[in-house]
Amino acid sequence: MALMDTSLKQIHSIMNDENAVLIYSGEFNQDIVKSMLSYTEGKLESSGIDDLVRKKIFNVMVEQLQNITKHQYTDEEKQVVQPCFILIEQENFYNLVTGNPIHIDTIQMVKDRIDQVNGLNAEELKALYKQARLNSRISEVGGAGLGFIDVARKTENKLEYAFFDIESANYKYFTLKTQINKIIQ
Amino acid sequence: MEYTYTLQKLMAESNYLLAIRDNFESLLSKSVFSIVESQISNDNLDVNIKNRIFSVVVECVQNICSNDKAHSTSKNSILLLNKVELGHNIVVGTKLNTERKNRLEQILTEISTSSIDELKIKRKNIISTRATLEESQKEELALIDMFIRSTGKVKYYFQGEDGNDCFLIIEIEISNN
Repeated sequence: MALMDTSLKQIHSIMNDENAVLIYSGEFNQDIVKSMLSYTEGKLESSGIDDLVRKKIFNVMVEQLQNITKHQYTDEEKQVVQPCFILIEQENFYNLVTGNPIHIDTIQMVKDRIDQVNGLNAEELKALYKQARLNSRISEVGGAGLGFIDVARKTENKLEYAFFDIESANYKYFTLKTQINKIIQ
Repeated sequence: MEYTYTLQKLMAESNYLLAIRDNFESLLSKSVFSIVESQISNDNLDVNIKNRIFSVVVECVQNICSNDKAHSTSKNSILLLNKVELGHNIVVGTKLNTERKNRLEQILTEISTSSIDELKIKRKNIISTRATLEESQKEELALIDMFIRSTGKVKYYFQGEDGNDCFLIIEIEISNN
């Protein structure tokens, strides 16, 4: 028998180390999103966690998956950089991690928005959310950071992010991690 | 968070679409099937090929991953789906105790040296001669089914045989034609 595929071994090892239970990498569409939500729903149901937490995880996941579907880009030439979604289950919390290539021109804006959101308390986030909703209605600029504010409000945790260099002059790989506690404080 | 980028890179390089690590208890099986179904329903695959992929996944999840009671509470099994040049690969991995390892190794050695016709006869015999199947026969049937549905394109490895546990990986290729 030949040796086990190295990438398979590495994937399995990282999944074990990081407690990842689901990874999807590839094109995101409505069907994929639906099936991932249904998988997670089944998983949460079987784990017996609080309904409120379940709802929270589900809502944040919808927001993150919609985001990645809207902003996905794949380098058609190489096909080695794709959007991805990772579900991590730790003892006391879940992590929802998304990754997608992002145009370098938008990096600073995304960074500023997340930093702004991370620097606010619950009350300030609520006010910012109201303001952002109003602004997006007036200017019709889709999003306007509304997604980040919404996710931060729902998770009540800071958003973690990073940008990684990829083999592209115009894109970097943007990863966003949210954390949802299993027990409501 | 570098692992995110590393994982997607590893997945993309080998065309892995999906990786699930779990104990695949029955409640989850339905969700696993629906996620696999959504992966293959986008391809313009013949319905027979889709059924073959789906049947192999069912066998993997129901009889290989979720059969080890000793490890049922931990996420010791893994299921991956990847696209290869001529079809799809289903990869299943599960942790085994020594007893199950010896049993499965014996079954796999026997199956892998049989022809597809011999396997079909064997399958028929197991089903027709016994009303209720024992665990080991369910496993044997599942493995025979994988070999038949993939026309023998099955590879397996036993990894990390330290102490009492080892990890079995089975790769099943389903061709598009």
